[in-house]
Amino acid sequence: MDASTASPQLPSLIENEFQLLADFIPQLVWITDPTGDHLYFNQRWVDYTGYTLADSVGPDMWNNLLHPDDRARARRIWGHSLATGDNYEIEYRFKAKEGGYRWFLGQASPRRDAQGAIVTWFGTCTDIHDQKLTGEAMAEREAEFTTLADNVAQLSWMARPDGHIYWYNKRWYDFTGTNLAEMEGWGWEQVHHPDHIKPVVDFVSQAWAKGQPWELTFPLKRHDGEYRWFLTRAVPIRNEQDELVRWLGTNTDVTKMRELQEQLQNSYADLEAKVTFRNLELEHEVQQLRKQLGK
Amino acid sequence: MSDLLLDVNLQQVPDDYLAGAWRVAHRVLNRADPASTLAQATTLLLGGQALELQAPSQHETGSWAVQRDELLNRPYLSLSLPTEDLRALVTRLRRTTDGARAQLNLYFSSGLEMQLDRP
Repeated sequence: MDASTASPQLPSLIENEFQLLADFIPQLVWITDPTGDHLYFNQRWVDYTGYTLADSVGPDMWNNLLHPDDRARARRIWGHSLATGDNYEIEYRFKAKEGGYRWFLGQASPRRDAQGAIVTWFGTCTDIHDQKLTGEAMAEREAEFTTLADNVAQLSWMARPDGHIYWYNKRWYDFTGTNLAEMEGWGWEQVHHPDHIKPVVDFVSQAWAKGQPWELTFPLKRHDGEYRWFLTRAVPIRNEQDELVRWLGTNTDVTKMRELQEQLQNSYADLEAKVTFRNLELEHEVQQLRKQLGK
Repeated sequence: MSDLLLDVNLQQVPDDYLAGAWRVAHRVLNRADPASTLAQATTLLLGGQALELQAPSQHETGSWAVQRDELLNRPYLSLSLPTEDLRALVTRLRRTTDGARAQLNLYFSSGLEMQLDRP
């Protein structure tokens, strides 16, 4: 705006508008001098903290307002910005005048004069309490999921709708001796038996497209080179629109079960052969007796 | 891998797979006479046609042959000894790919079962 055409009342008008704006915006707003002493707080600051500008002299306000666990970190980071002129940014907890703490994102930038010297620091504190708690709850859930996924007896994995596997649990890596970089996408083919891989690839290529739960048994190579048989189960996960968003899969070691099954089948076959053999023996003896009687 | 014992298909087993010097590794007597040479045998030598049974205090010789019956899907051995004739069903044969090691399971009509190892 051209100053020569500006109304003489403009500075006070702007000041009033700024005051209104500063009190209207949802953040806590503050201004300090270059040494960090507060010059201004907006009304939201006063309303939330209960501290006025007069209360902010000396270290008490910082000590009383900030969560004890955040004080040292806040002093260090703020001290760094005051010393270097770097922008200030921190997540910390401020005490409300009613009691209890809420998380805020504190940000401040220096305003400089024509010579580049810092004149004031202009800062805001944005309430991020709900997002922070949501983030913490999500991180906790993720940690719980990882603990569960890594400790189930099966090897587990997750894949995109087209079958591109993007996650395996720890047991998969421990069993195969591989890592995500080797396994991501279609890397699982490396741990399949060359004699069995073709039907597996043929089967899953169709299974991804069908989007229905599926099961398949095949051998997987252990880190020491030994193959073990696994029953693989995959379940499609769909969103509210019934769109396939991912696959959840498990591989259960059924080697022992297959061995027992084979032993059982062999035992039955042996028993059958023994009975037949004994019957033949009896037949043989009967014939011998008949011969003797015939004499 | 050559040390692995693999099951041999008993419907197609060549007779010479059954020949050799077999050591008795394990036996279940069932109703068999525990005093018989066979029940006490420690070694079965199956030569061309010659059979030799070796036990700690007994020794018998005779002959043997591989027999097959269309009702049985596996061979059986016919053993002729001075005191008796015996038949033993081959219930299992495992051997290494090079044949250096083998394991033979026999079931006698007396109920005696033997696991034989070679060598």
